[in-house]
Amino acid sequence: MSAPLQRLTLILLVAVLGLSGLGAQAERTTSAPQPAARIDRSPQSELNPPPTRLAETEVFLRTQPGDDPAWSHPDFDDRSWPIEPLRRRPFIGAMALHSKNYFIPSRAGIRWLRLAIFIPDPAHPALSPPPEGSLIWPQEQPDGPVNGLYMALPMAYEVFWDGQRLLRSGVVSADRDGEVAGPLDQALLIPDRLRSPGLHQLALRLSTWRYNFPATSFDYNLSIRNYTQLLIYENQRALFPVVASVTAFFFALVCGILFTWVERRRPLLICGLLSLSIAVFYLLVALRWLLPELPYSWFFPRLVAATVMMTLIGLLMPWLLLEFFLVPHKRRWILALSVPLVAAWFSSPIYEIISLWSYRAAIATSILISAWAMWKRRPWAWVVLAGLALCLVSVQTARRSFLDPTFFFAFNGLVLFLLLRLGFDLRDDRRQSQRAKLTAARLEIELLKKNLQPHFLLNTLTALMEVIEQSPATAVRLIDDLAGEFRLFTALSAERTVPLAQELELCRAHLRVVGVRSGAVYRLETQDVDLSLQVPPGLLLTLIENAFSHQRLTQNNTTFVLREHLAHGRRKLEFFSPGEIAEHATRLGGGTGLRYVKARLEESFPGHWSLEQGPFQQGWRTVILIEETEKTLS
Amino acid sequence: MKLLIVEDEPLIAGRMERFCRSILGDHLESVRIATGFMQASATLAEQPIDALLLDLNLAGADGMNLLQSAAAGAFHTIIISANVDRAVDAFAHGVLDFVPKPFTQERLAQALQRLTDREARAAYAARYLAVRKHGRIELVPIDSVLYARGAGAYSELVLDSGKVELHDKSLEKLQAVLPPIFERIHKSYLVRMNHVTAFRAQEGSHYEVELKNGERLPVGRTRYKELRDRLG
Repeated sequence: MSAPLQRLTLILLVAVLGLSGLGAQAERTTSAPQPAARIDRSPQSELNPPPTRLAETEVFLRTQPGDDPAWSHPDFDDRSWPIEPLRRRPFIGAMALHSKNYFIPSRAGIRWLRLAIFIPDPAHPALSPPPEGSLIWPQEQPDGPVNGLYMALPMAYEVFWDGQRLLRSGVVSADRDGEVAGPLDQALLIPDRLRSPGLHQLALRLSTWRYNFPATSFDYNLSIRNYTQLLIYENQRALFPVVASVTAFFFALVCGILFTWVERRRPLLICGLLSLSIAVFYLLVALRWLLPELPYSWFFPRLVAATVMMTLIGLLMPWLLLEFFLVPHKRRWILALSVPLVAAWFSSPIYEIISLWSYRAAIATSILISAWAMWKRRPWAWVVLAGLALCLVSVQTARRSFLDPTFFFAFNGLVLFLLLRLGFDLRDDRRQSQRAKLTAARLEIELLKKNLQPHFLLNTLTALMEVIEQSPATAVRLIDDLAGEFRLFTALSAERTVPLAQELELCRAHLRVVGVRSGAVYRLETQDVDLSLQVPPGLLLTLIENAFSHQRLTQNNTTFVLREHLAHGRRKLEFFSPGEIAEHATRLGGGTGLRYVKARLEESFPGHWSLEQGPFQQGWRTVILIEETEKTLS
Repeated sequence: MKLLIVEDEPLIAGRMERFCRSILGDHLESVRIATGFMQASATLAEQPIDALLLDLNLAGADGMNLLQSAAAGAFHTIIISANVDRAVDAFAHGVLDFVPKPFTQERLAQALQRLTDREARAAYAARYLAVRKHGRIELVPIDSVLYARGAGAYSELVLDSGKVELHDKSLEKLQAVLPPIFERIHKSYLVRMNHVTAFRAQEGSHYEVELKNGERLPVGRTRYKELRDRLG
């Protein structure tokens, strides 16, 4: 990656991290929870849209613990009741309301809320001002009358409009056993005849015995808009999480299939788990709209589960990058990451904030990992880095909404990128395998040529000339050995692998020929060797030839030794050739031979072998390790 | 004649020794065998030889180094090798002959003939002369040699650049490997004839040739006539 581009990315990174810090500060001041002693956990933000530019309002509720049917009546005098102010957020043709303070105490018996509603007469703009604290019903809009009331209330309740009960959600009760939890979300149609211009009274009779968050009091959300629009909007909220969940499940399935049947790479496994976590996470988010009948008592466990999934995602995403970029000391990174992930759980009573901090911790760690990868010049690290930086920006702007698609698209990008990389790697592996095959074929020819080549053959014939004149019987044996060696060699060199027994036979024939030439006796001894082991042909022969080229073999009784050792699914072949290493050991002949051996090993045991050589006890030792996997055993 | 055989296979070395004795008979003063070049160098240090019979494919050794080292020696070199590809290289460096393996006695006799016959030259002329300088071997292209001057057991190669290089071979041996364009005009001079512009006879039966660069070199009386007749 070019230097200017690297610098640009670093600047971007720093800017984003800076913004992130600022964003975090802003977060704390605008969403300051109320006196900490009262509240430890609250489902605040999913119920409330993030507050922006709030207008100070005079709308308030009146509230009273206890129970009396008369309290539903519009004419009931509630001026002695305590006041609870409301925040309101007007939209065009709609309005959202929620409490200014976390007020309603939970698990505390039956309580009533009363809200005065003033519906203006479009024909006669208000002749007298609406009463203090009353809510002014939004004006009618082109898309229809404002006749819908949407309530997200973690309570069992009954809604009264001008004393008439319009809705019953669950069963309100003075004690825990009597209460039946109703659904969290309700949409209520206020018919036209009830919405005559003038003053109306909305009353709520409620109990919260099934509210199972640890907090003692909590918040709630009401919104007012056209009923049809309301239903549409609420349904649409389900759309994204469902799509996200299905897509993530699909990715998880693809990763699982690839991992099981194509290639067992750990990044694939972790990507599959990550996809699965994201799928489950969005499923939990979507559950609220997929199963609207679930009682409100499910709210708490669902939110906790979603946050746990987010923590898991926060762990898996950086881990995926650790595996993907082959970073060393993965455990240290994961340990370091777990600190902010655990700390996030103590950061806020609000579950979305915990999730946000988990997510931030994950992105920050991922950015660090990618930056390291870029420094180490891992391919495409800078692409991942830029993508993550974008994620961080999006998280800042969206703040607390999981329903922001940017996170999900970023994740998709990462998964696609991983699959693309996998595709490239498989393609490269295939190409390399092709090349290895070609190389092996070529080297086979060269090896044949080498063996038939002048040096060996002609020297042998020269020796033969001498032997014929001196001892015809020896000459005949020499010719026989030579013929035998060539026969064996041509037969074996065509095979991919041959049993070790045959390779040893070839080597011994060769040693007999060379032995006659030099008047010495060469032996090849084996120890604990599995004669049926399949090896590339010419493996040991090449090592022996190299020994003759590069070592000063003692004239009398040179013994080559082959040992085998099988342990932990790895076969170790140890070949020892005695004799000093000649000072000018060069690549003459030995270079080609060794390359042939390595190419053949790669062809038969791709990626699962190693060959090392070195001096050992006044000789030269070659150690070949072959890992036995399914591929190598077949 | 003192010979040194450098061959690591005993059977073959034995064969070569047998043939040498058979071919040279009384002309052969001594023949020794070395199995490696290190051993050969040690032997050479003890006693000078007239000819070296060398196999280029000694165990693990770099044939090219051997070749250059041998060619720089004071002795003639005959290569006996299975690898015929190196023949051209060998001759270019100035060996007397290249005998491929396997060899018959007749073929070896042919090579040894070039040793004993005074008029005999290498089968193919050299293209470089290997000169030993500061422990390294430098190759001097023959095209740059104007003439060679005998200096005792050595020869001085005078190049067209004016530089003078010292070569270990005697003028006689040098003559055997140089191309025929070099003529022995004098006991102590081997000259490249296409640089000769004129023959001069001086008073007192001194004869000279003049070279393109103006230098004058003495010519032996008998050779003068011969040369003049031949070259006109």
